[in-house]
Amino acid sequence: MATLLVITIFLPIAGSIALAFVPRDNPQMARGLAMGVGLITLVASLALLAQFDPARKGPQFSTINARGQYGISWGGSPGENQTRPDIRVAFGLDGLSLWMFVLTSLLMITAMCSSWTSIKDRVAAHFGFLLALETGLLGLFASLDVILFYIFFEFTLIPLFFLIGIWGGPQRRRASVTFFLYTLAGSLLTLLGVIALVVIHYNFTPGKVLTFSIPELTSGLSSIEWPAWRDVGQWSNFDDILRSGPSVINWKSPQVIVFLLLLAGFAIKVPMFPVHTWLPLAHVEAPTAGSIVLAGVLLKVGTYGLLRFNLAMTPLASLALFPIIATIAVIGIIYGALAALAQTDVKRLVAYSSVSHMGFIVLGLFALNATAMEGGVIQMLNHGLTTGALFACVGVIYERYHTRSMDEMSGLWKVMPLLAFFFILASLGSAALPGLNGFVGEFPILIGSFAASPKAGVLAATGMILGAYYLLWMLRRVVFGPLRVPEVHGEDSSHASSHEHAGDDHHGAPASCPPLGWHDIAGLAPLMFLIVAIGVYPRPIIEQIQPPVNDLINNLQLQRERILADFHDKTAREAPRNTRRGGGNNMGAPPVPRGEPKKSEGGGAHPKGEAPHGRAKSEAGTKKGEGEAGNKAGAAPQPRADKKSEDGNSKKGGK
Amino acid sequence: MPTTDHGFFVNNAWLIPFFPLLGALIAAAAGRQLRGLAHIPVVAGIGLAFLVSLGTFASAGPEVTAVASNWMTFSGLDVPIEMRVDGLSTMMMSMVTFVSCLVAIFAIGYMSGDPGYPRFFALIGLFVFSMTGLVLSNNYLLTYVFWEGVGACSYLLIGFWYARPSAAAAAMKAFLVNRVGDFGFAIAIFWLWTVMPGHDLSYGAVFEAARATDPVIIQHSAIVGISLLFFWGATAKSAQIPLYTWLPDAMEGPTPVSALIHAATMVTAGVYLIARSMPMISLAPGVQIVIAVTGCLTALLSAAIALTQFDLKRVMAYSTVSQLGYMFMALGSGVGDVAQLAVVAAMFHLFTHAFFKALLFLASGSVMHAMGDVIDMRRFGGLRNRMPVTYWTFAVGAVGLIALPPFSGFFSKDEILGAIGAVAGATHVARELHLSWSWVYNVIYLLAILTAFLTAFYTSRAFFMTFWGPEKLPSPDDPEVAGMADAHGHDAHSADAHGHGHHEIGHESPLVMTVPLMILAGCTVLIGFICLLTWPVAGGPVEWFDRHMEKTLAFETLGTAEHGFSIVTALLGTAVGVGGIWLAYVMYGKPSPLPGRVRAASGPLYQASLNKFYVDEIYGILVVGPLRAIAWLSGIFDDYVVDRLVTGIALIPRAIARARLAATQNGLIQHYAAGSAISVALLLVVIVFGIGALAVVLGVLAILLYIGSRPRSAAVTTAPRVIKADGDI
Repeated sequence: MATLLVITIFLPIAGSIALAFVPRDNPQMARGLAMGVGLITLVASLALLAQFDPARKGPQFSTINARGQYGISWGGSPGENQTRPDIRVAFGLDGLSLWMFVLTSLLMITAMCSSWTSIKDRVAAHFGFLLALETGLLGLFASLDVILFYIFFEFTLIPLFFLIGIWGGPQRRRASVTFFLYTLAGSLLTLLGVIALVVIHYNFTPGKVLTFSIPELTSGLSSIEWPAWRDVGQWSNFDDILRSGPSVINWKSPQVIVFLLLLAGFAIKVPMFPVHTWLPLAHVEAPTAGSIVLAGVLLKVGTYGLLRFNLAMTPLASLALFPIIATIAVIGIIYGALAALAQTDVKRLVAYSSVSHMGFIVLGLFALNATAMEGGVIQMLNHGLTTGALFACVGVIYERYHTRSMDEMSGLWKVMPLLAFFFILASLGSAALPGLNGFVGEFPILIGSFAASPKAGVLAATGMILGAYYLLWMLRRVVFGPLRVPEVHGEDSSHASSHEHAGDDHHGAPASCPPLGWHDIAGLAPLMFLIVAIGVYPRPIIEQIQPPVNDLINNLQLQRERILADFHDKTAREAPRNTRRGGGNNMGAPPVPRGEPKKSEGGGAHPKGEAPHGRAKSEAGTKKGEGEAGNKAGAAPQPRADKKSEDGNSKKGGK
Repeated sequence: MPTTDHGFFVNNAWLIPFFPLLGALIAAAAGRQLRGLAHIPVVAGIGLAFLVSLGTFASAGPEVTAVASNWMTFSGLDVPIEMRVDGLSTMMMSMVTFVSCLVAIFAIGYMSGDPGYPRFFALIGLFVFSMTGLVLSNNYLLTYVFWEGVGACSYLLIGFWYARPSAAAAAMKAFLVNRVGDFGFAIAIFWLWTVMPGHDLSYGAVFEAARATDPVIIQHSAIVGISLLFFWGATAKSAQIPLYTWLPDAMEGPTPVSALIHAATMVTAGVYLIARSMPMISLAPGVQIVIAVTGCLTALLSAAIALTQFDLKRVMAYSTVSQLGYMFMALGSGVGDVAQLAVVAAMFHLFTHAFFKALLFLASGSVMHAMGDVIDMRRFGGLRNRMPVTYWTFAVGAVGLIALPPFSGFFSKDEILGAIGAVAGATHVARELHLSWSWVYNVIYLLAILTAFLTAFYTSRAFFMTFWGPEKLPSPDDPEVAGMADAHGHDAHSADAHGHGHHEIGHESPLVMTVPLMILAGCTVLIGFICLLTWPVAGGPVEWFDRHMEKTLAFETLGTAEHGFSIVTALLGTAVGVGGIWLAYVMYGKPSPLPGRVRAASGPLYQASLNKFYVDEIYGILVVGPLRAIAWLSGIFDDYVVDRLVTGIALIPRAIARARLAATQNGLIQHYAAGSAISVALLLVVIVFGIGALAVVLGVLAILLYIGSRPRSAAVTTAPRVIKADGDI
C-alpha cells in the first residue's frame, strides 16, 4: 500500500507534466486527460480509504526503513553518527490526514468540473496547474517529515498563484500577489518554528537525536526533560488560565515562542482574525476552481498544521494560550459572520462565511477536550464539502450571469431548480442543520467549548444564529423571489478578459441561462451525497479520527499533569518561606516531594553529562524568575494559592 | 438498556417516523413520474404511521424501546437513537399522525394543479417524520435534532411559493426567529451536558439527577438556568413573547401547511418540551412563574391583536398564539401539588386544540380556495349558502375554540382555568415559592377569563364576517379591492406562483377537501367526551386521558392534588364565551354602523391592535436595524481598517528593505560570503547552545545594527510615501 500512496501523490503532477505536451488547439484532450488523471487519483485515494484500519495506531501506508523509522532517508542512511540531518521521504496517513487526503482528491474533481466550460483560455495550463496543486496538497497531508511538509506547504502556493493570476477576475494580479506574500510571510515564521522544534528536540533528548520525522518529534518533545520547556506560565490548574488570562502566561517561555512562530503561518492559512483579509480578495478574484480548492482544502492546511504542530508538539503552550486563541476564534466567528452579512457579492459572502466557520474549527481544536477536537477535525472535512459546494454553485451562476451581485438577480429556482436544490442543501448544511454534515461538526465543537469555557461556548453559539442569517439572506435574494436575470454588462467585460465572451456580449441584453451541464451535476452531486451521508451516519468517520485525537488529548493531559507537578514543586519550595511569614497556617500543606527525584533523574538522563551551558543558564534564569514571581504572589493572595494547591492535589487523588 | 417485549407496536415504534419518511423519499424521487399522484406514498405512509401509533397507545408505559443504533459517537457525546413510548409521546404521535393524515388528504384537493405538487407532499412527509421523531426521542439532543428538523421543513413549506417575495421573507423570518430560540435550547443542552454525570442526556437520567438530593448532582442554580433556557427555546417554537412574531407571517405558506404545522403540530413542540421536562422544571417554581406570566401575556396580547385583523388566516394565527399561551399558563401553574393536574390540563388542551384549530384553518383554506386565494374578510361575506359544509364545520370549530359546552375545547380550557384557580387558591404555593407570589396566579386567572372573552369575540367576528350578512364575492378586477389586497401582500404575485385554476369563484370545495373537514368537526364534538370517559380502576374512577398521561416518564414524581369540577369556573368560562358571541353578533351579524363607531371611539387603541402593537417595527428598530448596521460597519471596517492595517504592516519590511537592505545586495561577493558566514554561525549557536542563545545573539545583533544605522534613520521616514506611490503591493 505504501507504493499506492506514493503513486497517488505523484500521479497528478505526472499528469500535469503530460498536459504540457497537449497541443494548444485541443482543449478537449486536455480536459479529458486531466479529468482522467483526477479520477484515477480519486479512485486510488478511495482504495486507500478502504484499506485504512482505524484500529491501528500511528501512520499507515508508510514505508519503514531498516531502523524501524518511517520513510526513506534522503540520500542514504545517516549511519551511526548523527551529524548529517536525517531528512526523510516519508509518507503516511492517519485518522487526521486520511479524510483531508480524500477530500483533496474529491474536491479536485469538482474544481475540474467547474472549469470544464468556464475556462476557455489556455485550458491545458489551467488543468495542469490544478493537478500540480493536487500533488502539493496530497503530499502535504501525507508528509511524515517536517521538511517534506514544509516543501509541499510552500509548493502549493505556486500553482495557486498562477491560477489566480492568470484566470482570475479584474484585480487578479493584486489578489495573487497579496495572497502569495501574505502566506509566504507567515510560513517563513512557521519554518523558523519548525526548525526550533527540531533543534530543541536535538538538544534535550537523551542521545541527541536529530530527527525531522513528525511522529518522532511528537513523541520526543512530549517527554523531554527541560523545565524551561514546561514553564509556560504561573498556574496551578486550567481554571487559573481561564480566570486570569494572559497575565499568567510566561511569554518568554521557549514553548510559547515556538507556538507563536508556528501559529503565524497557520493562522494566516486558516485564516484567523485579523489576518484574514487576503481571503475575500483571493476568493473574489480566483476562478471558481481556485476558490473551491482554496476554501475547501487550502484553509484546512492551516488547521491541519495547528493540529500536527501546535497542539501535538507544543501542547502546554496550547493549553496556556487557550483563552487568547479562543478569543480570537470567537471574534473571527462573529466578525466574519457580520462581515458576510454586509456583502452583496455572493462569492465574497461565502468567503467571509469561511472566516466564520474556520473560527469554529479553531475553537474546537483548542478547547482541548476530545469532544470538541473530534468535532473540529470532522468539521474540517464538512466545511470543505459545504463551502466547496457553495463556491461551485456560485461558479455555475457566474458562468451564466457574469455577475455575482445579489442586487441584480433573484428567483433562480424558477430557471434552475436543481441548482436551487443544491444551493439550499449546501447552505443548510453550512448553517449546521441537524441531519446534514455541518451539525455533526459544529455541535460537538460548541458543546466541548462550552465545557472548556462557557463564555466562549455561548458567544460562539451566536455564530449559529448569524450563520443562518447570512446564508438564508443569500438564499432569499438569489434563489427565492420573482425571476430576475441580470443584464449582461457590455463594457464591463474586463471580467471576461480570459474568457472568450467579450464577442457575444450585447450590452443590456438579459443573460441567457442554459440548464446545468452534466459536468456541473457531476461536480456537485458527490458533495451533496456526502453532505447528507455524513449528517445522517457520521460514525465511520468519527471512528477513524478518534484514535489520533485521543492520542493528542492524552498527551495534553499528561503534560498538564506534569506542569501541575512542577507547580507543586514550586509551592513546596516556597512553603517554608511562607510559614515563616504567614505564621504556620499552612503547615498542613503537603510537602509534595514529587518533582524532586524526577528532576535529578532528568539530570542524570543525559548520558554524556555535558549539560550545555545555554541550558544550564536558562534553567537558572527561570528558577530565578519563578522565585521572583513567587515572592510577588506570596505577598497578598497566599491563602488562595494554598487552596489551589490543595484542590489540585485532591483532584489528582481522585484520578 | 434492557429491551423487554412490549408487544409488536411498541417494539417497532421506529416504524412511526419511518413510514412518512419513506413516503417522502418516494414522492421526492419519483415526483416527476408520479405528478398528480405524488400524494399517494405520503398519505399512505402517514396513514400507516397513524395505525402504528394507535397500536402503541394500548401498551404504552414509561419504558424505553429498542436502541436502534448510535448516531454520533464522539467521545463524551455518544448519541443513542432511543425511543420512548409512554403516555405523553403516544398521545402526541396519535394526534400528529391523525391530523396530518387528514390535512394531507385535504391538500390533495387544495394543491391540485400546483407545479410543486410532489415537492409539497415530500416536504409534508418529511415534516411528519421530524415531528414524530421529536416526540419519540428519548434524549434532549435527539429531540433538538428533530426540533431543528421541523423548523427546516417549516422554512421550506412557508417558502413553498418561492417566487413570492413575501413568502421568501416570511420563511427566512420563521427560520431565524426559531434559530434564536434554538440557541437557547442548545445552550441548555451544553449546560446539561456539562453537569450530567457521564454526559448522559436521556430524559430519565436527567430527571433522576435533577431530583437527587444526596448528594446533589445538579446545583439548583443550574436547574433554574437550564429550565429557563428550555423555555427560551420553547418560546420560539411555540410562538410566545418575545419570539412569536414569525407565526402570523408564516401564513404565507399554503393553507394546509398553516393548518398542520403552524396550528396543530409543530407549534406545540415547545409545549411538549416543557411538559416533558416538568419533572425538572417543577423543581424551580420561580421559572414556572415566568412561564405562566409569559403565557398569560402572550394569550392576552395576541387575542387583542386578533380582534381587528381582516385577514382570516391571520386571525386564526393570532388565535393559535393565544391558545398556546393558555397551554403555557397551565404548565406554569403546575407548582407543587398542582403539577400533575396542570400538565394534564395543558396536554389536554394541546390535544383538543389540534383538532379544532386544524379544522378552522382547513375551513379557512376552503374559503380561500373558493374565493380565488382571497383571504381578506372585507372582500367576501355571506357565504353560508354557497358553502354549506364549510360553513357548518367552521361553526363547529369556532364553538370549540370559544369553548362552549359540550365541545371539546370547553373541557380542556375548563381544566386549565381549574388548574390556575387551584394554584391561586392553594395555600401551599406560597410555601413552595418561599415568597408570597400566589397573587400572581390570581391575576393570571382573571386575565385568562378576559382572554376567553376576547377569543369568543374575535372568533365569532371572523365567523360572522365570512358567512353571515349579505352575500359578497371578491372581484379581482376591482381596483379598490386589489389595492387593499396588495397592502396585505397577498395575491399580488400569486398568479405565477400559485397555479391552481380557479375558473369560478364561490363554489363549495370538492369532497376530498370537505370530508376531512367533517371528520375533524366530528372529533371536535366528540373528543372531549372520549377523553373524559371514566375508567373504573382501583382507588376510584379515573378519567381516560388522565390515566393515559400517568403512563408518562417520571410523571409520578410530580405533585398530585384532588381536584373537583369547579362549577364557578365552568359557568364563568361559558358566560364570557356567550357574551363574546353576542357582542360579535351585534356588531357583525348584519350590516351595522357599530364597528365603525367602535373604531372611531377607541382611536389609537384600535390602530395599535390593527398594526399588531407595532411589535415587528419595534424589533426592526431595536434588533434587526442595529444588527444590520453593525454588519455594514464590519464590512467597511474590514475593507478599510483591518485590511489596511495588515497591508500597512506588510509595508514595513519593504520600507526597511528600501532603506537598508537594498544596500546589502550590492553585488560584492565578500559581503555575501560574510552574510553566509554569519548565518552559519547563528545556526551553530542554536545547535550548540539552544534556542535561547539564538534569541540573545539576535538581540545583541539587532541592537548593534540599530546603533550602527542611526544616522541614516531619516531615510526610513520617507520610505512609506514612496511605497504608496507605486500602488498595490
